Amino acid sequence: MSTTTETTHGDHGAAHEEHPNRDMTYVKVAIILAAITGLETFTYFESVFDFGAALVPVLLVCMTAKFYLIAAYFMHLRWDKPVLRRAFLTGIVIALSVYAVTLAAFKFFGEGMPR
Amino acid sequence: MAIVEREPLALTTGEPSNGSLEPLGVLARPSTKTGWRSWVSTVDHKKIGIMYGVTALFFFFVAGFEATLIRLQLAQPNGTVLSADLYNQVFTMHGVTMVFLVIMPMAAAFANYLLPLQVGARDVAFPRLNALSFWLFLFGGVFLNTSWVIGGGGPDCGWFCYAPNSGVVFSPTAGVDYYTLGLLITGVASSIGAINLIVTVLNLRAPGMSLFRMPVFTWMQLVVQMLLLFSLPVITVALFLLTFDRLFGANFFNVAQGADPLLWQHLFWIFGHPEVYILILPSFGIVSEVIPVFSRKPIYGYPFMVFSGIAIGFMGWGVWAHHMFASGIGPISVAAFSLATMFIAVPTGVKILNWMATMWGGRIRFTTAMLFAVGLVAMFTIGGLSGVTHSVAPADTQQTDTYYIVAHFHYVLFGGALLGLFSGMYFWWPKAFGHFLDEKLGKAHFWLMIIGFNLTFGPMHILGLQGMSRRIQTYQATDGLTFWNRVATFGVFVIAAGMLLFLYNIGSSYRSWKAAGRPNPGADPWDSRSLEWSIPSPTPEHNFDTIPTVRAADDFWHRKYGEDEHGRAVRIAATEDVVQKGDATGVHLPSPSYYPLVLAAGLPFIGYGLIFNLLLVIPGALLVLWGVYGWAYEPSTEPDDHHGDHGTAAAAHEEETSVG
Amino acid sequence: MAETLAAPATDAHHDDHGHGHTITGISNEKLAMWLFLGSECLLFGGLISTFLLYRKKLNSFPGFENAEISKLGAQLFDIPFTSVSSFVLLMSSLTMVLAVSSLQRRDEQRMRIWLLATALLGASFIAGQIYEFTAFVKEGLGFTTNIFSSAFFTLTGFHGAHVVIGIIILMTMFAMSLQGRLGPERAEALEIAGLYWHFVDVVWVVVFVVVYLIK
Repeated sequence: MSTTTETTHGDHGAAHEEHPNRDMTYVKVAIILAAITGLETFTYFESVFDFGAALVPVLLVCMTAKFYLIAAYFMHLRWDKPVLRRAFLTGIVIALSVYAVTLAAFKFFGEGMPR
Repeated sequence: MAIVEREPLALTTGEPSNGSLEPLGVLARPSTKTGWRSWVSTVDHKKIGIMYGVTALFFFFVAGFEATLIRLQLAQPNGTVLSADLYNQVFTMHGVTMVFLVIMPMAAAFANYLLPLQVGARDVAFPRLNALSFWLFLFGGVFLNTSWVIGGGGPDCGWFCYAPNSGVVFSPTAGVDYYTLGLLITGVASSIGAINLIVTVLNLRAPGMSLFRMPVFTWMQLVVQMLLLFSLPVITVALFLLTFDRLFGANFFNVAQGADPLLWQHLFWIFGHPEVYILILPSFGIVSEVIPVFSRKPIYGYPFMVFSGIAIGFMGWGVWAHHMFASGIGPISVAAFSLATMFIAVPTGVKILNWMATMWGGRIRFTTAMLFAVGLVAMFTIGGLSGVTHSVAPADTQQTDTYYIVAHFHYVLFGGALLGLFSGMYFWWPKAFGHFLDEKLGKAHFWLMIIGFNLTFGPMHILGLQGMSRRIQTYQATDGLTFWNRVATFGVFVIAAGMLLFLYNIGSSYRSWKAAGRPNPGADPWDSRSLEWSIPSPTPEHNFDTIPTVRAADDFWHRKYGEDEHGRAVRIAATEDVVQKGDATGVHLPSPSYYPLVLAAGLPFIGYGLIFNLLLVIPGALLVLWGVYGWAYEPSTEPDDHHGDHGTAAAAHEEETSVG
Repeated sequence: MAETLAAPATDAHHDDHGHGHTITGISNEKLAMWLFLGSECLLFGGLISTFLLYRKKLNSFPGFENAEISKLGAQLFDIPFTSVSSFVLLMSSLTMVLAVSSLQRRDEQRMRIWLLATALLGASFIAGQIYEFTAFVKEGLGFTTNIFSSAFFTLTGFHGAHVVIGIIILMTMFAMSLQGRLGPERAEALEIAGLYWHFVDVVWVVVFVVVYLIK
């Protein structure tokens, strides 16, 4: 590949100037992901430690953190153009809102919830 | 620059691997520019757009025939034209065909033809995927309609196919399977098309064509494609659940097992309400192009037009349950969705006012295109007003399932969407085909349509308020509904006459144009504003000789006209001097391909296989595999077709991932 | 293919990447993939919501009148086993991103190794899923048994199908690489395939918590 190509490459995100070696970052992120997965699995063994009412929030936080780490680092959203992030977020936001409303209409979040 | 051309190693599968990048598989690259081969292998967005239009027009006559049968059955009390069962199938297929196989693809025809031209591009972003979308739509539509002849009749569950009424118990024929599988196939087509067109609009704009210099039609199509992109997966889920219930004995809508029938309704209408805007916004875009041209004024309040379109797109996600007011979703839900529905009328009203303000003080030319556009503004307003009455939940509970609803949605879909599409046809016909449609016949067509339409659907308001139910195959003489039903049936024949006149107009306009020695209408016959009029008619295969650089909204207009000190338009350049000649040579275009057709042809086999005999799935799957791999290994541009000086193999392959 | 379409005012120059000339600076293919993934959110959202709705109603199903939903995980799922599966899929994301990174640095040999590792990890995940499904069926919980099982198999089955398609894409790219059709100049194609793979992983991150762990 010639240098001309490298230059055109450059204008589509700082990431590809010389393709910085991010392998160590990826490995670190993977270790964090593994640790969170460990914590998630740990919640299953109630006899060892009972999270009680905190269980669902803890799990949701873990899930969101993993989601964010994969999307931001492995899928390069951290370094890529904002329009890609927006396209993905639009899908997530629409999905969360319409399905949350639907489940609420089914009294999913408790009998006491208005519907 | 160097592309590293390596000698490929042998394929692990043992298939032949040629040193050059010749495609795998047996289909040679088609090279003809005319004849049927050039059409079935085309990747040209203009040809694909025309094929969309022709197919949609064909389905329009199919669905129109079904509508005529419905009206004949209802022409008198205790009608005997259709049995109750057949009546169910006919009104279902009328609705499904009109929504999914007429209005959506007709709008797709305009989008395909015009979006690349309006943003100043040579084609869509993925020409072969574009061809795939069309073939999937065609095969899906044909598959759906074969239910009449194979499998014991069409679907009989209404276009929204409420579960559990659509389950095997209540609908034992294969009709509903055709509905679910057919809509899945056309859904894939629309999803791929949506991605393709969004990328085209975002990525392929000409230099200087910022988002807020794009024509309103392009904007509305962008909103529509976004709606399609995010709403189709929801009905995909619903259709899969229903398919699994019917074909594999799953229990999603099995009430005996404790299933909740409202699940289908929610999933369907989460898709179904954005779908309503998917149907109407393209026509809003078309009249937003037509009215300024024939009023010789720029569109009034361009930013408001754009933002109201975006607002409709967003708010369209928050109103779906107003289709379910009578289903017992609970008072809070009803109140919330009722309020949201009232709000969504605001951006629509903004549009109506802006169109009228555009006409206000303009030098109006009442061409056929303009008549249809004004017809939309008037008829849609009526439909919009009856729509607002539905947002009042107590009134809606009274109106639900009556002909009042039927009247409402025909005023917005026929009086809105279809009139807009016809306006677009008369407007862009010379651009696509190089000759005009006859104006005299066109105006007769318009008046027949508008009179027939109001005769057919106007009385339905009254019938509905008198309590006539939808989807019931007959009524009694003592019900007092006979008179208005007769009027409505008479109206259908007026519409039919109008449509036959339209067909005749297409043929006779072509013949008289040929007899007159094929006079060219010129690049810009209407003195228009957007980029597609700056290139010759009919559009040359390569669209633009040179990609224009855009300096303002309505750039082409500003090349022709300046302003005097009173702000009046003054001609500054002759049209012939600012339009392109269309004589460029050596423009690099993607080569035609058979693989989209091969890939798409596999899916109906899989559909029939799921319904009748799983063995049929095998040839279907093989066709799909052949299509995918032939496609992935076929460069999008043939090396021989090069007008440049370098290989494109690498870029060609990138498409593979977008198929995945 | 994009290059032909995104051509600038003159035809004098194309580059072989297809994204040098788009007005946003993003290649058509990458933008298309992200739009597709945004759309997929709605697909999996619908399946997950269906599952949640019907798990909540578990007690209304014949044979489940006395089941305690909060004990469901312990009764039905083999959580330690699924945790290992989840971990395997998570690690396949790491190998995928390392494959892309290797190709960007023109190390095609290493890229092929990572690619193969990714496909193998994905295949192990699928093997685990087949084992889990068979175990359920043996215990009498088939696809048609009740609403809960239909929803469970549909959701996890859809995800599994996505993984299988991912494996096919990866293996195709592996074959292309052996043929010399996947050089460093096409690193972005691999990156885009990777985006799909990571998305499938992210869906499992959600499914693992929502289906298996939340009681």
